[in-house]
Amino acid sequence: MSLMTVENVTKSYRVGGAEQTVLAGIDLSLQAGEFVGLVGPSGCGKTTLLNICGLIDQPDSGQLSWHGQSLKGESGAALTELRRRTFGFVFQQFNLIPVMSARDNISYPLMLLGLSRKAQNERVESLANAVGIGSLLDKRPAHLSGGQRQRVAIARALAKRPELIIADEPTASLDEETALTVVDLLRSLSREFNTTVLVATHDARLSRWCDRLIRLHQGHLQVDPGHVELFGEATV
Amino acid sequence: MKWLFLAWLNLGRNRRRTIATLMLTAIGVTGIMATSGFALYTYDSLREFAMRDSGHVILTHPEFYHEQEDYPLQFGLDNAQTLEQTLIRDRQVRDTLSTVEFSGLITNGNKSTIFIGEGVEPELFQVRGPSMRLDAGRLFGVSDADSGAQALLGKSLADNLKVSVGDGLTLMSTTVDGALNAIDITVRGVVSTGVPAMDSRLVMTRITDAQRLLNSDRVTRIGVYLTDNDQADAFYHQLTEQYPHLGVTAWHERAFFYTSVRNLYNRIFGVMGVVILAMVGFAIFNTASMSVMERTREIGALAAMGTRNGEILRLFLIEATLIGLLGSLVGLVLSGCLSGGLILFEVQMPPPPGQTEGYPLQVYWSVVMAMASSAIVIVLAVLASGFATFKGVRKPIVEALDYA
Repeated sequence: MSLMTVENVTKSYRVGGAEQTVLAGIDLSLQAGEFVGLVGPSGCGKTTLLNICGLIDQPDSGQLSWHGQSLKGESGAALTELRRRTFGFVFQQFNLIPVMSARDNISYPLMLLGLSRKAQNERVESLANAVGIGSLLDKRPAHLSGGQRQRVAIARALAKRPELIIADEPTASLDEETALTVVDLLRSLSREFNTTVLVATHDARLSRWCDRLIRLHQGHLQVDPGHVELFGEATV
Repeated sequence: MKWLFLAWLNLGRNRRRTIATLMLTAIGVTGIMATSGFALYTYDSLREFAMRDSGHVILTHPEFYHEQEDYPLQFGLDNAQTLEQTLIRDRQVRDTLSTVEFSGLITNGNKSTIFIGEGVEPELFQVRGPSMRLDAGRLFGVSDADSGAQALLGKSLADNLKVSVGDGLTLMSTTVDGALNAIDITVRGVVSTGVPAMDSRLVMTRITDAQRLLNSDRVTRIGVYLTDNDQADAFYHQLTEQYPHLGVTAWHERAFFYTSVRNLYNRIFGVMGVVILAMVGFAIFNTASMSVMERTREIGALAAMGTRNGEILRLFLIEATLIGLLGSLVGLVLSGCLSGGLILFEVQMPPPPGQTEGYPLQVYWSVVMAMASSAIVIVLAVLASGFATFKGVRKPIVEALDYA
């Protein structure tokens, strides 16, 4: 059974009085533990699709299922609870809480889950070592480099051991070397924790980390042909 | 605890703004404490003065305060001495004072003028305590061995008649039988009540001299002084039941100045309090609004991670509570310093309208007032913050994350 299924999802925006369709009947299935890349030109609707998959935006039509259960008609509070327990987010701008140390930022989702302070610390330290910021835990985001902040963000996304991580352009604010390191890290940790990752990017270099690469073009999903050549046939 | 910690951290996000809001809250609390403290001091002083002036409970003829007398002491009390002896046996009663009110003409032989007289018991000044300023001579005393009729004159009256201590004057009045009577008195002292209108008419004699002038052994009223001010109401009700045939009046029913000042101050300081609270409320509203605006993207991220709207709102409310609490604490310390400073370094207030004597400015600091003003400010802070942040935390997550 798929972790998440997106069926015939549409989404339009009104821009300057004209209706602009960004998602025109999207079908997508995410399997447990896979690393899926979503590519496409700027403004093609990658973020919109990610937001819908991350349950922070509503489609105009179509439906989403989680472990085979339709999410249609679920209340905002129910979706919040689902995100709280099983979703992780990595944002392009990191979105760390500036007044909190790296340690507190990473443990924030664990605090929401009500884990004991001891359990939080154990998991935070283990993750911090895994992402290579073990010595920076007491620093605030302002005292970290862009790459270090994104590592904190990845650790935060992974802290609750989510089933699905939504990563929107996680390397856009990073230099080339750091970007590759961060994606490599995200990939290896997702394998380690069997976490599904849906990552939006317009960076073609990331394709080699993806189990599956899908392209969003004019509101429709396509299997990236280049990626098919590299990794074999894939489905959307 | 976790939310409290996060709220505490958030207060340090923009320290200057937090300190400015905190200080405004503190100044607001100081303002409320100072104005209400001054009002309380004034009420307390006036209440004390009124009680000392009339006694906690006043006994009269039942018609005295309701009907005009056709002749002096028409509505006077008979057997006042017996009544006083009965009253004084009650353990709650500290003392009783009979008074005879009268009026007439006072003359130095060359010049005559109207006077308002009070025949008082010699222990009046011991019982009342300081209620007027002695400008010359002596007040009446219990152990006086002086013979002959003596009087204390208001300062302006003494000046008007050009008399000083030891000079002789004549008091003329109508007796209870309608006849004109006169007694010679010697000026024993000159006093100032602080009220010019009184000082130009006041004559105080011993009660026996007043009764001799009016040719009656009645008294106008008996003031009952209690050992405990707080028992005044209960004792009033007790006397009402005990003496149904007499006029029993509580002190505040005759304390017109006290009541007027209290009503006036309640309105003035009430409006001031509302203005101060409005300032504090708007300051916190402004701070919370700016804070929500600046943290919109962060709010979006928190919500995306599964933080409930209520939890985000609670975070802002805790921040407002902390500002209210800390501001109140600083304000209470400042107001305490103000109260203490006014005791150490006396500041004189100018005389109120219609009076000649100023009074020391004091500001009471009471625990009840401190708790009430802090509670009001904290509730206000929470309401203002809730009002400012309610809409912000409900912004759609996608919009919040895109907020520039």
